[in-house]
Amino acid sequence: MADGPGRPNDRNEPMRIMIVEDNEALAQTTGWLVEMIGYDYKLAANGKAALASYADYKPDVFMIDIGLPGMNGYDLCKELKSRPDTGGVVFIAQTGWGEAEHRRMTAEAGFDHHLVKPLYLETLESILGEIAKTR
Amino acid sequence: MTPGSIKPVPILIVDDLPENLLSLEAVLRRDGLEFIKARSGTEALEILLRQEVALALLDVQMPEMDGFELAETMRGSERTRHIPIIFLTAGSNDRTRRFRGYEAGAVDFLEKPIEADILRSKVAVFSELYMQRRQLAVQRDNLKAFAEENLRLLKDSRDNALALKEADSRKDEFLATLAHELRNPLAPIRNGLQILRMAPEGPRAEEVRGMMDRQLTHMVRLIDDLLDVSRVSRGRIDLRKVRMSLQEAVSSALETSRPLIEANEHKLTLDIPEDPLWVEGDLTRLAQVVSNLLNNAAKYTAPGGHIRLTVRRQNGHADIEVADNGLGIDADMLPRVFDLFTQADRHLDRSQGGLGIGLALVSKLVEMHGGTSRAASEGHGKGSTFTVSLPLIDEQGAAIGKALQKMQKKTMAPMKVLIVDDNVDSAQTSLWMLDLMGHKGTVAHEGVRALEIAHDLQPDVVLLDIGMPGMDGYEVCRQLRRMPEMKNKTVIAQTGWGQESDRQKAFAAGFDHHITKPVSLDLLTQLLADIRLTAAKAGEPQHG
Repeated sequence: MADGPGRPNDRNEPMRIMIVEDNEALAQTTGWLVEMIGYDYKLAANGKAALASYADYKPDVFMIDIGLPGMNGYDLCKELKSRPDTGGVVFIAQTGWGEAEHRRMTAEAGFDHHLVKPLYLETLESILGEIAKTR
Repeated sequence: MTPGSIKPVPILIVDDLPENLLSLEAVLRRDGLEFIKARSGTEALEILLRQEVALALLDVQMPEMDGFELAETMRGSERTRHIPIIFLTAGSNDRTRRFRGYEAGAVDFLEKPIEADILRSKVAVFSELYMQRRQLAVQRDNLKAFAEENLRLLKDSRDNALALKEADSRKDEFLATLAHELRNPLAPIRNGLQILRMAPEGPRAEEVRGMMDRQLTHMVRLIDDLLDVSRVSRGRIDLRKVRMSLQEAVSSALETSRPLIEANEHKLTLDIPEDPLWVEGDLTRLAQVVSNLLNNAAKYTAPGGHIRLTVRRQNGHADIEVADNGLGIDADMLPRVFDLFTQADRHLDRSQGGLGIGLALVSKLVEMHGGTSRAASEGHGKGSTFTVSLPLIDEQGAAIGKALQKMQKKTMAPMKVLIVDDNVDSAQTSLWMLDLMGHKGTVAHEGVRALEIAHDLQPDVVLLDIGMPGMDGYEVCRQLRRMPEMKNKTVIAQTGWGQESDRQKAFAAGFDHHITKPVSLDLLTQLLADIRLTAAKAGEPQHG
C-alpha cells in the first residue's frame, strides 16, 4: 500500500507521534506513556533533529515543546506546516505556559491543540484517541 | 492677613505748587495711607514707572504738561491705564473741559477750594478698592502656588504609581515564571508516576524512579534558591568566611556547572593563574557566585557557543570574568540585570530557564564579600561579559594565614568534646564524626548528666542540643557558664531552627556558636578548627 499525499501513515498501523522536546526526562517519559496508550513514538531533541527525521518517520501527530533551544516551537510548527508532506498532520503544543495569550500564540503558529505541562494521562489519551478516530 | 503684612496704600498727588501738596497731604493723612508727591507731570510719570499707586490726585492747571495730558499719557500705558484719577480743578467747571477730563480717563472732579470731608471719603473708597484688589491678587498667587504644588504632588503620585505598577507587574511575571519553572521538573515526575502506576516493575521502572529522583532534586534546588534569595535580601544569611583561594571556589563551581555547559555543547575556555589568589570568603557562597555566572552564560548562549572564564589579579583585587558570545543584553536592560526577578525573553520557555534570581544572588553575595559586580554587553546578539571583583588579602596576611594553618596542624591535638542530645541516633552519629576527626567525644542524653560530666571531664567543647525534655539546652548552657571550669570553654548550640530570633536567644544564653541541623562533617571540622585557631591566637594553652 503506497502512502498518498496527506496520508502519511497507513490507518491499520498504530498512529505515529513525533515528540519534539529537549528536556530528556520529559521526552522519554512522554514517549513511554504514548507507547503504553498503544501508539508508536519517535523522539527529537530540537527543531533541527525533527526537520531532519520527520520525512522518514511520517508522523500523524507532532507534540512540540515551545521552549526549544535554537528554533523555538512556534517557528518549528510554521516551518513544518509549510512543507508539502505534512498535510493532515495534527500539531500539539506542549508548554509550561497556560495563559490565554500563550494559547493565542500557539494557535496563530498553526497548532491544533495546546497542552500545559504537566500532562494528565487522561487528557493525552483522549486527545490522541480523538485524533486516531478521525484518521 | 496679619497686621504686619499690611502695606500702606500709595496715593499719588501731583501739583506744581508745593504748598498745595502739603495742604492736601495734611487733609488726607491717616494710618494706612502713604503719599507720593510729584511737582510735574514728568515727575509723576517717572514715579509711576517705579511703583504702583492706588489713586492719582491730579491738579489740572500745571505748566508744561497739564493734568489732562498726564492723564492721557497714563491711559496710553498698560501699566498705568487702570489707575483711578481724581482731577482737582480751580473753578473751571465749564462742560467742555470736564468732558475732556472724562475722556482722558478721570473718575471724578473736585473743585478748589477742596472740601476736606468729601476728598477724604472719596480717597477712602478708592483705598478700600485698592486693598481689596491687592488681597485678591495675594489670594490668586496663593491659589496658583497651591495649584502648582498639587500638580507636583499629582506627578509624584503618578510616578510612584508607575513604579509600583512596574514592581507589581515584575512580581506577576515572576510568579508566572516560578509556576513555569516548577512545572518543568513536575512534568516528567507526573509522567513517571503514571508510568509506574501502569508498569510498576522492571528495568524501565527503575529508570523512571532514578529520573524522578533527579527531577525532585532539581525542584529542591529551585526552592532552595528561592529561600536563599529571600534570606539574602533580608540580610539573614551568615557567611562562614575563612582564608581561601579563589581557585578553590572556581573549581567547585566548574564541577557544578559543567554538566549544563556540556549538555549545550558550549566550548569552555579557562584562563586561571596557578598561584593561589587569597581572599577572605565563604567557599560555598563564592562557588555559588561563579557557578551562577557560568549557568547564566550557558542559558543565554546558543548550543555550540563559547564561554570563557578568566581569573586575574588586578591591583589588590581579583577579577573573575565570565564572557560568552550568546544572546547579549540590550542597553536598557543592562542596569537592571542584577535586580531581582529580571529576566530577558520570558515568553519563550527556555528549557534551561530560571527564576531570574541567579544574578541577583550573585550581586548580593559579592556585596557581602566587600566586592562589586558588573555586566557589559555590546547589545542584543553580541554576547555578555560579567565581572566580579573581590578584595584580595595582602601578601602579609597570606603569610600570616599560612603560619596559622601550620600552627593549627601542629596543635591539632584531640579535643575533648561533650555531646549532649536526647536523640540517641543523632548523638551517636555526632560521636562517630568526632571520632573520624580524631577528637575524643563523650555523650550525655540529658541536661543534669551533662552538667555532671562537664564537671568531671572539663571538655574543651560542648555540642549542645536545644530541644531536650526536662532541662533544655538554654538552661544547660546557663548552668555551664556558672561553673568556673567551664566559663571559658566553647559551647555550641545545635538546633533544627535557623531563624535569627533562635540565634539571638542562643547567644543570650551564653552559647558561642549556633549551628543548624543536619550538621555536615565539613562544617563540624571547620568549626572545630576555627575554635582551635582562636584559642591558639589568644595564646591560651589548651593542651600544654
